[in-house]
Amino acid sequence: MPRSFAGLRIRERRRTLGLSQTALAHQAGISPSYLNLIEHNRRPVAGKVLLALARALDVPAAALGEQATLGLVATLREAAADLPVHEPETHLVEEFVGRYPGWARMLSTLDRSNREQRTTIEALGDRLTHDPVLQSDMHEMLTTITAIRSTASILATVDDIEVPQRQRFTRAIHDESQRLSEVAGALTDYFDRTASTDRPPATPEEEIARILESAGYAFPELTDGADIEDVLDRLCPNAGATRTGLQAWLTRWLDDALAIPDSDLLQILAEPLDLTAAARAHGVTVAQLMRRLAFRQGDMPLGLIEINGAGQILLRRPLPDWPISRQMAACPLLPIFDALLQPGMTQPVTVEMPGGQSTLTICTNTITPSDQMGQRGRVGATMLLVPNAAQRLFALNNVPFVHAGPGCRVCARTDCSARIAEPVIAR
Amino acid sequence: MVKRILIVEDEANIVESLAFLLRRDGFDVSTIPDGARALAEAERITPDLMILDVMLPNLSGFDVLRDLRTHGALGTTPVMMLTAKGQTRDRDQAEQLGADLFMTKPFSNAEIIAQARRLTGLTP
Repeated sequence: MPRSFAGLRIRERRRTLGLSQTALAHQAGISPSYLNLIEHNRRPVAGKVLLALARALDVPAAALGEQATLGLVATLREAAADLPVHEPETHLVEEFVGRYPGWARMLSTLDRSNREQRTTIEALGDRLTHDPVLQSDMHEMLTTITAIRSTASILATVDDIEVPQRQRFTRAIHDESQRLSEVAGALTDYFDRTASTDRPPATPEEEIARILESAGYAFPELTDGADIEDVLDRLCPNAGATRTGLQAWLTRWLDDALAIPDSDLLQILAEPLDLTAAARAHGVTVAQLMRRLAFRQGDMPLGLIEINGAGQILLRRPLPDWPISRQMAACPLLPIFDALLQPGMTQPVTVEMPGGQSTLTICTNTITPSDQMGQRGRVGATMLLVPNAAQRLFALNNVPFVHAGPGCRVCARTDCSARIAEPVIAR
Repeated sequence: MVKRILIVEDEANIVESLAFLLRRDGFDVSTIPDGARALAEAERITPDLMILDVMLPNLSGFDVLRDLRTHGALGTTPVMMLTAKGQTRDRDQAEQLGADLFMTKPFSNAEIIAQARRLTGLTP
C-alpha cells in the first residue's frame, strides 16, 4: 500500500506561504494537533477538511488530494522503469511527488512528450517503409532512372546507331527526365503537405503563419472599415500570444494598405517596376512596398522574408519552391544577410539553390528609428522572393547571382566554405 | 542458332533500350507489354529466355512466372526477373517461384547482356 502524501503536500504548501500550523489550523477550522497528525500522514484527509485546508492554502483541493498524485506516481514509476540506467530512487517516488509536485509534474510532462515523440518517429519510420504513395513514387523514380541510365549508356558507348534510332533514344531521355522531375516534384509536395498538416502548430508564430496562409495574407475588409478586433475574433478568438502577434501583424498590414492603397498599387504594377523609384514616388519605404506586394490578393504571389539584425526570421510568406522554414537555420549566403550591412541599398540578386532552381530576390536594408532619445534604432532587412512567372513585373537588367542553400542540415552542396554543420542525410 | 528472348515489360523506353542492346548482341528479341498476354506469346515463340518485369498491367510478373513453371512445354524456360523493388520479400518470392535470376532496377547494360548470354547457354 502506497504511503499517503497529502500531508506532505499540505506541509510544504503551508511552509511556502510562511504559515504556522496553528494559523492554518485556525483558518481551516480544525485543531493544531489534528493538523499535525494530517501533515505527518497519521490521519487521512478528505471531504470538508480537505476543502477547508485547500481554501486556506489557496490551492485547488485536487492538488492536495490523493487522486491527482496517484496518477503522477504511476507515470514516474513507468518513466523510471524505462530508464533504469539512471537508477532512480523508486522507493522515494511518493515522497518526491508529495514534496515537489511541480518538479514531478514537469518530469511527467517530459516523459509524456518523450513517449509521444517516440510514437511519431515510429509512425514516420513505418510510413517510409509502407506508405503506398511513397512506394509508388519510389518505384516510378527507379523505373525512370533505369530507362535514362540504360539509354544514356547506349548513346555514350555505341557509335554506329542509325539516326532514327538515335533520335528515339534522345527523345526517350528527354521524356523520362521530364517524368522524373514530375515524380520528384510530387514527392517533395507530398512531404511538404504531410509535414505541414499532420502536426499541430508548436508555437504562436507557427500558428500565426498558418492562419495567415489560410487567409491568403490579405485582409481587404480592414481597408473597407472593418474593426481589427472583429477580424481577430474570427481568426483567433482566444486571448494569448497568437492573438497578440496577429493583432500586430494586422495593424501593420492596415498601415501599409492605407499608405499604398489598391488603386496606387495597380498603378505601380501597370509598368515594369523600379522598387526604389516607386517607393519614393508614393512616399513609402522600399520595405513597405515589398510587404504590400507580398501581402495582397492576386494570382501571382510573391514571397517575403523579414529578419532582424541578429538574422532571426520575423516574418515570412513562403513560396512553394523556396525551402526556408522558420525553425531552420538559414543559409548565410542568402543575400538578405548581405543587406544587413548595406544601409540604404536595395539590391536584386538571383539565388541558385543546390537543386538548380533559381529565384530572383530583391533585398533592402531597414532601419526602424527609436522613438526615444538616446536609444538605438533597430536594423533589419527584407527580402522579396520573385518566382519566375512574376519577374516580368520588374524592370531589372544584369542581375548578379549567388549560390545559396536551404541551410546546412538539409543542403546537398558539398563544396561550400560557409558550411558549419554536416547534412542530416550524408551523401 | 540464334537465341530468342521474350521481354515482358510495360515501360516502353526500357523495352526500347533492352531490345536494342540484345538485338545488337545477336539475340532475336520479341516484346510484350502485358502480363496477361505473356504466356500466349511465349507459346508462340518458345523463347530461350524470358526477361520478366514484376509490376505489369493485368497480371503480375509473379503470376506469369507461376503459370510458366506449371506449363508443360515452357516450364523450364530460364527467367530473369526485373523489378524496381529490391526488397528481400520480392527476391524471396521470385526464388520460390523458380526465377533463375533477379535483377534490380536500375541495372547496368553490361550486366544484362552478360546474364542473358549465361542464361541462354552462350557463355558458361
